[in-house]
Parts: sequence; structure tokens; C-alpha cells
Amino acid sequence: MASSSSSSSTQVKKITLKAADGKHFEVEEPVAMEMETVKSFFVGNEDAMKDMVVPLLNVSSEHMPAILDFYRNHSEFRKRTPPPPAEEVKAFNEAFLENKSDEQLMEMIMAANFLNTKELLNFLTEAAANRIKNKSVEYVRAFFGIENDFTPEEEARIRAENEWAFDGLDED
Amino acid sequence: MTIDYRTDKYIQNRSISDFSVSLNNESKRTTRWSDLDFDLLLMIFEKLLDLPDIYRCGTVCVSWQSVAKTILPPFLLLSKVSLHAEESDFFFGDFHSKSINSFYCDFFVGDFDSKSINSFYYEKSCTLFNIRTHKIHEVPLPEEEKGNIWYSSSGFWWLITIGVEPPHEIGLFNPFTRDRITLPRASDLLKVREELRVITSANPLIDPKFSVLATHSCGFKIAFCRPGDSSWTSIKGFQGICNDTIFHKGEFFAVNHRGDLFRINCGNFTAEKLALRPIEFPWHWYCNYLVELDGDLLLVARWLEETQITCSKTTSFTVYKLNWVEKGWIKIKNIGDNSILLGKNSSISLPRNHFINFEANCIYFIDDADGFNMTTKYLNMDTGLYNIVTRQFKWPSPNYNKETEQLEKLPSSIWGGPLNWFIP
Repeated sequence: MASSSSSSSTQVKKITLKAADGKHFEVEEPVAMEMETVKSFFVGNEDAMKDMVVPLLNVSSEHMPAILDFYRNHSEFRKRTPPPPAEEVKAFNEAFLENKSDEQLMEMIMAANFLNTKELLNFLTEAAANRIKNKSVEYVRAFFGIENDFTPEEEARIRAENEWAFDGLDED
Repeated sequence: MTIDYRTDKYIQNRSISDFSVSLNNESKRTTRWSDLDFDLLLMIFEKLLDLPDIYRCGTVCVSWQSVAKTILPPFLLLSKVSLHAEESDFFFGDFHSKSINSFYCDFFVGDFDSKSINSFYYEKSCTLFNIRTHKIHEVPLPEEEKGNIWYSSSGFWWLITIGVEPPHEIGLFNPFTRDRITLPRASDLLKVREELRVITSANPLIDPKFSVLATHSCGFKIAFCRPGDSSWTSIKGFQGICNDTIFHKGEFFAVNHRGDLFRINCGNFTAEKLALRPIEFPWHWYCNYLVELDGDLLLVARWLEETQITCSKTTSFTVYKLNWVEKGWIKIKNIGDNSILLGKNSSISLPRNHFINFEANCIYFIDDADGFNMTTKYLNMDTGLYNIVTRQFKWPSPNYNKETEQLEKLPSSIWGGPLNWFIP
């Protein structure tokens, strides 16, 4: 018993996650447990089932490395004393979003929603909000791929009433 | 009033089809933003702190318009009022200093005729200060009302608009959706230019069967109406001076200056005093407010003292929670991770995380004194925040305490005129 506990302390237990396209990812247990969806998979069967492969039906393997990287870094940020300087967290977050297309961002939001992790979801939805800040209605429609279903008269009326909201926008 | 900003509550109130968004068939993507669940869409919207951004999202398509209406942040409603010329420059810079100054000249030189009131009260827009982004927005008032109304805040992001001249037309106006509801004239409630506190039982946009309770600013008269009524009906049986009213768990309540709570019966138009153990108020000058927090009814007593330079200064607050079983008010010393905004027409509790830089367990209060009765130099001196646990005050007004760290949290420009909360 003593030997088994000492071996588990040096060797972090891993959990295997299976992305939507079948690819497997071996993840340290504390990182995997950042995901509520994975956590709830084991509720009531904490030990017995940890050798199982957890299927993540809505998460593409393309995004898994980045998402896991986010969990690893942010859980480390949370644990660290004293807390990391804001610049360090900001730098990580900015690097995380760099070169991510709008489409990739959307897919990651859906993934974070499926994985049920509040921190990542908050971070990504804020990133999406930042991308449509101070942009024209046309830009926002194109960004979300949404068709305008106002009649021209309705839209003209809304715009006239809220004219002040349409000043000084960024270039699309 | 308490509002739950968690998205699931919004979703519960709406059928999914309300939010259906059309797909762009020409797109080659296999997944689209428009495939996003509506709670995800709301999460993105809620991160938009700036009013024009929210507005523009409301112009994207019909379904988004209804979503955008529900995610507005709390505001401070600013009135443009008289200031000394040099003060207005100090407080506002170029911000409306011209109209403020012209009013000031008219008013203090003594030529106080209707024309000078016009330059004060005949507003073309209302000024909202976003307490999340610290930006100021000028939202136009309806064209038909320009030039004859003054306004105050109600709740659910509605303004009360009151005609300056008799018979004092009263309306509710939502500056964001541009909806307007006409209420009975107030000629039997108002004699001269006076404040009128108006609350509704529900957001008129969501529940068209809402009812309205109006209180005269002196607190001696309470009246009731439903939309479509031709006149207000006076509520009989209320005793004392009405300090505040609230719609709580399906009923209107009113509290008087002694802390007596009355239930308003809208069937027979009477106020019935609830048999509660009276609060042992020491002899003191105070004002009572009613606030809802997590389904409980709170009474917040604001203790005041007279000062030499201002009309009144807040010295302390006591918060009580109504215990229906024991039929009494119980003093509480902690409101957890919440803030209370205390104001004339609109007191509310909100989870702290709804603000930037706002503090938990604090009461944010504004100067309730009527600016018209005071020298403008000291307007809003009694505006600040009070920590319920530490019992410490912070005074953002630069006139009060120059050493306070809180000075930067709200710009000094907003402390120039009578304020009100403009809130959900």
C-alpha cells in the first residue's frame, strides 16, 4: 500500500480523451478534471473508470492541443503564490488568440461549451465580443454569417432612432 | 428588485424559436456562428459593455434585437442642471456647459420665469453614464415630447416623462427600444413642478398587463393606475410620509418614515399596515428604502445629519431583512457578494460581478436632496459608497475627501447634477 501511494505521487495519473475525429490525447488527471464534462463522466466511479477512454464528441483534434495548453497554464496561474503579474496572463492569452481565425474561434467556443469549462468559455466569448466591438452592423452580420431579416423600412427606422450608436466606427 | 444575469434565466423566458437565426446558404463553412446556441450568443453579447455595440447587434436581425434589449448594463441617469460657470467647466469641460450656464444665469440673477425653466427642463435627450465602461451617452428623447417634458428614472430601463405644464402629461418611455406608454395625466397629483416617483409591477415590454404605482415626492400621496385608465386612483389608508415603494412577490409595498410597511391592495385601493414588530429607531433623521435581495425584502435605513454646508450628510446605514414568520425586521450585517444601489426612484441589488471595480457588501448611494432647493455648489455631496461590514464610507466627490482612492472610479464629471440610477 505504501509503495503504491509513493509511485502514484511521482507518476501523475493520465486520462485518455478521444476527440471527435478519433484521435487520442493522454492528459494529466488534474488537467482533464478542469473540464466539467470529463469530471462528470467519472462521478460516482472515480477510480474504477479512470482507465476508460472519454469520448469528446464535439471537440475536433485540431483544437485539443491549444485547449489543453490553456487549462495547464491557467490552472498553474491560479495555484501560484504570489499570483502571476497581470502582464504574464495577458501575454499568454494574447498569444493563445494570435493567428486564430474567426471560424477557429467559433469552433473553440463550441468546444468549450461542450467541455463545460467556464473560464475558457468566458475567455473565448470575450475574444469574440472584442472582434465585433466598434464594427458596423454589416461587419457583424458577415462575422456571424447572419442574414438581415429586417425590411428596409424597419432597418432605416431603427438606424434613424439610434443614429448616435453608428458614429465613429472602425473600418471593417 | 433583483435581476439574475445568468443567461439560463433569460433563456427560460424565451422560446428557442424566438432566437432562430437564418443561415447563410452561400457560406461554405460546415459550422457557422449562427449555429451557436443562444446562451452562447448571449454570453458574447454580455461581454459587449458599450451601449452602441449592443445597439448595433440589435440591428443585425429581428431575433437579435430582442436579445440585445435584455443585456443592457446599469447606468447613472444624469440631469443637466445649474452649476456655477467655473464649476461647470471644472466638472463637465465642454459637456453641455452652455445650456447649464444659461440656466444658471437665468436662475440666480433672479429672472425666474417660465422661460428660464424651459432652458432647464425642456430636454432633447437624456444623459446616461455607463457604470461599466464609464462612457457617457446622449440618448435622444422622442420627437413629439421634445420641449415639454422633464424626466426621471423608473425601473426596467424605463424613464418617466412628465409634462412641465399642467395637466402634466405622464408617460413611460424606453429610450433604447423607443417604446412609449401614455399614463393618466397627473393634474390631480401634481400642483407645481414636483418629483413623482413611478414604479411598475413588471417590464411593460414583457408583461402588457403591468400596473403602476405613483408617489408624490412629499410622500403624502400614493396613486395607482393600469395602462388605459383615464385617471389615477388614490390609495387610502396609508399613514405617515411614504419613503419608498416596491413591487415584491406580486404585490406593491410602501414604507413610511417610521419604517412601517404597508401592503397596497390594488382591488379596493387601500394600504394595509402589516403587523410587524416595529423597528426601534432612535430619535434621528433618516430615510427608508426598500430593496429586494435574493427574494427577500430589505429595508435600508439611511441615517442623516444636518451640516453647515450641505442640506444633509449620510452618517450610517442599517440594513434589515423582513422575516415573515417572526413578523419583524431583522438586522443584517452582510449582503455577501452583492451591491445595493440606492436611489430616488430605483433602488436595486445586483451581484457585484456585474460591475467593474465595484465592491461587494457595499451600498452605493446618491444624493437624494432636490437640487432645486440647494445651492448648486454642494449638489451631490452626499453621494458615495458605504461598506456594510467595515462601516466605512468612501466619498467620490472631490469636494469631500481628496485622499480617497475611490476618486478615480467614477469621473468627477458625473457629480455635477442630481443623479438617479437607470437600471433593470
